[in-house]
Amino acid sequence: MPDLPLDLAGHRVLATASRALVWEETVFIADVHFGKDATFRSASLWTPPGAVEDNLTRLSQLLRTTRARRLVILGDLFHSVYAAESVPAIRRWRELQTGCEMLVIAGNHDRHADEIARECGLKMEPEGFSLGPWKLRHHPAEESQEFTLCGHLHPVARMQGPGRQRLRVPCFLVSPNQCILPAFGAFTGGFNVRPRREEYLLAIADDSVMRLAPKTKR
Amino acid sequence: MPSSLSPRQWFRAQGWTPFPFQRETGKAFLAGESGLLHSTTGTGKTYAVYFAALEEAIRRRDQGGGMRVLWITPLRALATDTENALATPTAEIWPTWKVGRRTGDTSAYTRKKIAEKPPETLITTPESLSLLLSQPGFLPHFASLRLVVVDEWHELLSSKRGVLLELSLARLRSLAPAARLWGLSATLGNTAEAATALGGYLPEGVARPMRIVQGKIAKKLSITTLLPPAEDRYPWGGHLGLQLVPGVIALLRRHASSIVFTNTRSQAELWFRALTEAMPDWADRIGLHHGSLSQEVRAHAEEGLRSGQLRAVVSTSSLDLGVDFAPVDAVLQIGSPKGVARLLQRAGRSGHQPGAESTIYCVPANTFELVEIAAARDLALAGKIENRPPLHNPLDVLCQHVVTVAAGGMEIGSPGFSEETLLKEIRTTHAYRTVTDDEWQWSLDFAARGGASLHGYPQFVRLRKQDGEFVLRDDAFARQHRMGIGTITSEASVSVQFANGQRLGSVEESFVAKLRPGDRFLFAGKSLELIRVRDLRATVRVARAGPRGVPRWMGGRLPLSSRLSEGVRERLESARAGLLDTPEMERLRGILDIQKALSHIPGSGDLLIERLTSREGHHLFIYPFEGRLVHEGLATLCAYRLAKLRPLSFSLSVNDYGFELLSPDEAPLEQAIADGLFSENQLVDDILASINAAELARRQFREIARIAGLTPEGVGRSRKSTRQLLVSSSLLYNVFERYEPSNRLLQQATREVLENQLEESRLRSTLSAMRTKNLLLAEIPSPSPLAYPLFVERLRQQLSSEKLSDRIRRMEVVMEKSASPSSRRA
Repeated sequence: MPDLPLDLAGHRVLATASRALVWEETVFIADVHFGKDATFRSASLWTPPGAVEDNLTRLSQLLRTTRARRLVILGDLFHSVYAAESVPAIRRWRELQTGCEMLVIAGNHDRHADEIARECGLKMEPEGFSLGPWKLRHHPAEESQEFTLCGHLHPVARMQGPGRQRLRVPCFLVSPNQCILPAFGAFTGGFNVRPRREEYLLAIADDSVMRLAPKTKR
Repeated sequence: MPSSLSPRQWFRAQGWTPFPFQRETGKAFLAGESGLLHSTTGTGKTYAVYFAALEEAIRRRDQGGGMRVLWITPLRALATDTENALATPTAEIWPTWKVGRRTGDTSAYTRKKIAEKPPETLITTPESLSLLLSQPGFLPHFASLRLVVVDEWHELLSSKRGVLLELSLARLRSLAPAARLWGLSATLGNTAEAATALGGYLPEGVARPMRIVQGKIAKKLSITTLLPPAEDRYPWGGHLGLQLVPGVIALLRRHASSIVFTNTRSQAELWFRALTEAMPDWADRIGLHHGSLSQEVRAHAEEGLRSGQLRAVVSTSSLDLGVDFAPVDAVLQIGSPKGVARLLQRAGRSGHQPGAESTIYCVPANTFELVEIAAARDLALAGKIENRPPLHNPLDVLCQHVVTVAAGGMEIGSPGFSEETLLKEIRTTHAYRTVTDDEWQWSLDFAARGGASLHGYPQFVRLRKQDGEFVLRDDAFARQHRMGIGTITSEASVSVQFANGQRLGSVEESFVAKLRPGDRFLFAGKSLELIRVRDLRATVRVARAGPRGVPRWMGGRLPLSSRLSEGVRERLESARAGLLDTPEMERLRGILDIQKALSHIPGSGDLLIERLTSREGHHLFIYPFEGRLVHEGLATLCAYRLAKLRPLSFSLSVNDYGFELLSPDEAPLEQAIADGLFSENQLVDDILASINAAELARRQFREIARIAGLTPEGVGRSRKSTRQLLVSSSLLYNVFERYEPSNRLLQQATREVLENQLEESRLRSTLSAMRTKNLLLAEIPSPSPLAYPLFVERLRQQLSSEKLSDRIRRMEVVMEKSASPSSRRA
């Protein structure tokens, strides 16, 4: 059983090893960063294309296995205006996903995204958009009454174990009223996070999701 | 204009007598020969070749008006010294000639003047020479050259900068037919090979004749060790040996001027601080010098030493070289010199006049370094110096050179190059003598169009074909390419400066990334407090309290040379037989006794393995005594092979004597040895398969990517777009590995790791030696003196054959220290 069922604010959701959160018929992902490789190429930094196809393939797989009726991207779908290069590919892909509504929450890399998103057949929603019990944001919220789902941070868990073992893996960061999702994009880095007492991490361990034990003081 | 003094008269007027090697060099040059002159530092190599050129000027009654001497020096900092050293005799012997310098530091105004009318003697660096070759307008100036000098060739020889220079020298062979080429070098174990690599090959495929002149005068050398206090019997873990500060101070006070050499920049910072704290009266008499400090800070230290204002300078290898750098009375070496050549080079900084005695005091950084110092003295006195092998076929440098030639033109007055002519010329260099047609085609295609995966992206078209010649796409690209010329890669660096803009130097981005505003660190000899980081600039102020950390720079640690490793094994062999015949070895007696009581002292024919179980897990210590580069490869290999037998996770530490494999579960050592733990079968496959090798390749890839023009300098640094262009080289490597696995630069990264970093051939011979050795397996109750430094080493790599989820199950997450009272219980 690779995916992990969770209780978030009394609602049952599934954290998947494909770095998504599934609630009823909705799939949430964050930080795809389409066009990051194209941005690099535009600055003459040599980067082979391929990340777009890779991301789309993984997304198709995700939507197929979850039979989702709705996909929500929690910001940073596009890295920059250079993502325009991949619009035809994304639009073609979008057209194949019939019966699935797609929403994008505006994010900091998305200044030019509105137009690109429209061209791709995606709907933009503002930061703080409400969907069912969830508050949807790109940036993590400082404080919130409703349970927030967000991205932006690209959280990575750092672990230690016996024999001086160390590990870094992408993770979900869950607190009492917020869940920060790992970055979905194939060409993205990560940020080390340390959970507070009331928080916990869900690590992506290849093909499964695991809740991590906090370090006990000796 | 008549000369006022002949070179010989001028020389005698300085109170010097020409040495036979200086006369031999002069004669050979005047007879039209090229060659390599090698001797220890400070024995008069500079004047030997330069005066020959002046002599020729007098004979030809040269009226100047064009370049005559091109002087190539490895460091920008050296160019100033060289200019001073050459300008004085030039003015007094043949004042028609002018001396000038063109390096990365030269102002735009001077560059323009030099481009219009270069001086007769031009001092430059390999990078600036490559740049001059990319400017079509400059090419005609090379035609009048009579002498090309490559100074400190040993420094360049084993590096890509050396390869870049080989390619430029090949250009000069056709652009400056009358020029003779002379290399100046410290003595090496492979001097003949060094000469061949410098000279290159004639079109018919034979090596160009190079006369090898040996500087005969062996400088008197005294190597003394500052012995640690006798009661300090255990190798101390702090690595830095700051315990010896009082002894160092006594030495500094005794000499009028000294250089204190350290092996790393962090060490230099720590020692500078320790010394200034211990000697408040010397606060403004000690300077600090290392490669990450700003030009002004470094110049202050150099100037102070020269003028006598400073009594001592703490320095890294940034002061290793230098033609006429102020000689000092004493040189101190903190930590083992790690190589015989380095010891001699540094010792040569003292008593700089020909014939004077060189004195070097070695200050061990841990007790076992006493063996290294004793061994280094043995080898130095026996004249056994390391080889520096030249590099072979680095395609990244070739890609860069191809674009350079397209920009500057192959011949004067015609842009671009024809493929056939350029390939022929490139094959006259030592580095590319055997480049295959296939490799050449790939490099050309990569340079021209960005290789297979980027065809169809117009921004990556760099060259176009015009009447059968390859020429540059446009002038804008020429400018961009010139910015990126060079082969030294720097880590993404962050400038450290005060709020008023005064620059102190730079530290690596990865260090700054871990700091928060208010954190204090040691840099440029000061305790600094971070105010903010913005746009690759860290603003700091002087902190009221002491520093909490010291920046570390990549590639900090020098590996023990293979020659010195051999010397260490021999020293231990005689120690086992009870022979402790130097003060260093005598001081080690107590520790060697503990080693013998707990385990064994390995002789030359033994392979020692120690096994220990501690609270942390199961430790294996294996001691091949082959230097840390080889041990890195061996540790990875052994961990991989052990982990193949059953799922295991290792954390590895290495040093110059051996390596440690630490695992939560016991590794099946006996079974692995029986199954060929040290076998050479499938060596390359096994290394490549290990995660570690891939990690190493990722690091290598950053350098290769930049040299080949994949990540041009200056791009991604522009303030506006930085945020969108942040990427780590390892991420970039992953993208290539996934989407363009056949890219040859990736293959080169792997090859460089195998050959340069893991020294595959040495790994192979080490393995074969290990199999024939007598295996000594000791179960130890606590770390032996040999094991201790490995046991406490914190820089570790990992290798695992366990499932990720199985590893995670044993792990714990580091929690945020929360401010809430409930979490404050200890």
